Amino acid sequence: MRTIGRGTSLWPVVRNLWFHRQLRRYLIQGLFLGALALFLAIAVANVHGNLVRQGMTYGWDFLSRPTGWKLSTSVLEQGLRDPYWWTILMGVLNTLVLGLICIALASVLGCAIGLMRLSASVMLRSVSTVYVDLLRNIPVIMQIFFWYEVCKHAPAERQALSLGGAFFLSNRGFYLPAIETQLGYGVLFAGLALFALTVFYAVRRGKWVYPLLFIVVSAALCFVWPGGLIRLQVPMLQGFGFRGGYRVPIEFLVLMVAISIYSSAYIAEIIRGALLAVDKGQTEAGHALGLGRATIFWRIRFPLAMRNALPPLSNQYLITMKVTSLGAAIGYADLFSVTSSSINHAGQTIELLAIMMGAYLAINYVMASLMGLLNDRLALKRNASSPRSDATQARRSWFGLRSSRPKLQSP
Amino acid sequence: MIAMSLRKQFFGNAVSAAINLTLLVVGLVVLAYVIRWAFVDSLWKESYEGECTKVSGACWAVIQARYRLILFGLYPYEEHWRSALACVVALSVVVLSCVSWFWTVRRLIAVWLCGTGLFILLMRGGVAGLPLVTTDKWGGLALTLYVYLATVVIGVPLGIVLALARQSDLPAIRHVVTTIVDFVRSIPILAVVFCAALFAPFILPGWLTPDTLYRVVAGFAFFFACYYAMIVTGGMQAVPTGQYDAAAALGLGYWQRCYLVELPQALRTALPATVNHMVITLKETSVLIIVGMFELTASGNAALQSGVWKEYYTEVYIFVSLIYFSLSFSLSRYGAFLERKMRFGFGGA
Repeated sequence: MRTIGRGTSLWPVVRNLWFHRQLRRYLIQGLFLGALALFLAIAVANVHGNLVRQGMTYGWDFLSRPTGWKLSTSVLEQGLRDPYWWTILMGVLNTLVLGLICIALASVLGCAIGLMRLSASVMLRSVSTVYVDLLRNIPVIMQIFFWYEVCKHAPAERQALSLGGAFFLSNRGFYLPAIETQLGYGVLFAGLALFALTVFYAVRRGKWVYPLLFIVVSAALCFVWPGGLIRLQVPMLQGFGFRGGYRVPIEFLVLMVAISIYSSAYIAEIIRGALLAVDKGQTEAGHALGLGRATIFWRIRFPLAMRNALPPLSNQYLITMKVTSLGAAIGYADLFSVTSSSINHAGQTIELLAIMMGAYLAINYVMASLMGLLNDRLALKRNASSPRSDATQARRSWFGLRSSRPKLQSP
Repeated sequence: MIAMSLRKQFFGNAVSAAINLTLLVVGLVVLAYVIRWAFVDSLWKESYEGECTKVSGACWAVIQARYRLILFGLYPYEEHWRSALACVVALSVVVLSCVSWFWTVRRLIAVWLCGTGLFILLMRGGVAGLPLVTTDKWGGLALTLYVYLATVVIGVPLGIVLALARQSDLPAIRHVVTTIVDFVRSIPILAVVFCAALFAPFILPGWLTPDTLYRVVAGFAFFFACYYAMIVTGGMQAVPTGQYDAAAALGLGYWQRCYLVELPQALRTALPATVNHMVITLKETSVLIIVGMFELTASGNAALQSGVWKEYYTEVYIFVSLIYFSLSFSLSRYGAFLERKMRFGFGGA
């Protein structure tokens, strides 16, 4: 039975709809998605309008046009006539090479400093503490500028600093001996890969015959081959510059030093934390078994600490890779600065930004997945009912970022 | 007692004694060299132009001549006191929010909003007889602190909203926000800021396109918010599930639960990580030099640009680094102190 006066009102119906739990969920989500779609539509309309107004076109044709400008540094050859896609690819390669070298150097340095932080010696501890505190509290870009100025004030090529007569530091770059081979670099790299494989096999199986055999055979080949199979070509001063050898451009050198040192301070803290987190009982068990201090460290504490360190370490590696974008500040042709100069020259802002974002995403995703795989391999195998490891979760989350634990440092 | 433990640490065995002695000697030599360079052979004030070329030590005269450019950028000379006062305001906001008396929602909001408002009022002027100074004249330490204040004021609430949306049980909202946050976190800050500076004019309608500084700050704040959202999420995951059950049993709705139960505990757990991230953000403001902002790093570089002072980059970089270092180091020490304090259960009370 309905009462007169309220029956005609719509309000109870609306109220009932709003307090219907499931319906409200759909309503809120619908509104959210609608607003999102509206925003995107407005954005696309604006972009289109702006492009038309400025007489710009949209499309990917520019990728095959020659750039007409040359990168300041690149790992492989890049010239004026090379198309945009090749130039951008070189930018990606520059970022990757710099990032990977920095990661490797920072890991070694960071491990050493991290161990020093826990050393029994007062002096070692204080030196490493100052190192970490100083480097972590000064912006990395300041450090890059500082090293850049230092290198720019290095002596000119004619008075280059010589390190053992084979390495030279000048204000144009760092010169090191080149490897010359008559077989071509393909064969050389194949040989190196084969050697790495034998070493890998030796580590796994404990058979060191193959790597040794490999070294002996290749050394003999080099010796016997007419004209020398592999030669080291030492850079020589001729006139105003150097001839022969490799030149590491000053920008690369500066970034390598600055980013490795900066990153090593963070890695040192990670290693220190990981070592401190190893259960004391493990060390005591080692003592009880009568193991020596070195054995306890290298066979028990260090391997366990490495397992603790791997998740934050992978984060730090991702960060280091992203920090290389600051190379733009001193004119290193990394992905970011190649994109920004391409935008200046070709004008295809949106497409180029999309390429840059995509490339960074891809690098990030691949690295995160690889580190996740490594973590899975290294993780101690507990019983089957143990919860999924962080790394497995990482691969399930978007873009390979770990979703559970926030990372504390960027960029 | 102390002497004995020191002796034991220093001369524990032959190897460590050798290492310690060598390091001590090397350290002392380096220290002596630095002291001689910085204090003994140095010049603090030039009595005639080019006097610096005569001394072998540091030429602090460059700081004497250039500190106003480094601290205040291109801000009009007569108005520098305003810029200096604004810096003091910004720093006191940071210091005040480290005092636990201010750790309530209302007080924190009041401190940060008033501080930022006062900062902008002082810098911008145009009222109460202060001449108007537009944002393109802002620079140096003042600009760095402005970007920092604005980033925190925009980024913290935004980060909390993003964190709530990430944890939401509405799948559409959760997935969209998670995708955006993870996307932003996997590209460098530089790319985000660059996009904000370059891309925003394309997307937004003309009347909504503010000048570059505001766009850059917006991009920077959004980047901050995405990282902060992850920190808050971490805090939320540490809230025991029993708390949610209790909230449901009391009949609290979603917003009441968030405001009264979830967030207070989550934010408190996340406090050390938050302070840590604040330190990182302060240092990160230096990347703005690449998109052409005239902040502290850029003004330090600009101080070197004029021909006479080119050679004294070490002095200028030491000065600028010292500013960053003192801010960042004291904040991070404070963060470590908080973390220690929390480990002994001060959050539980």
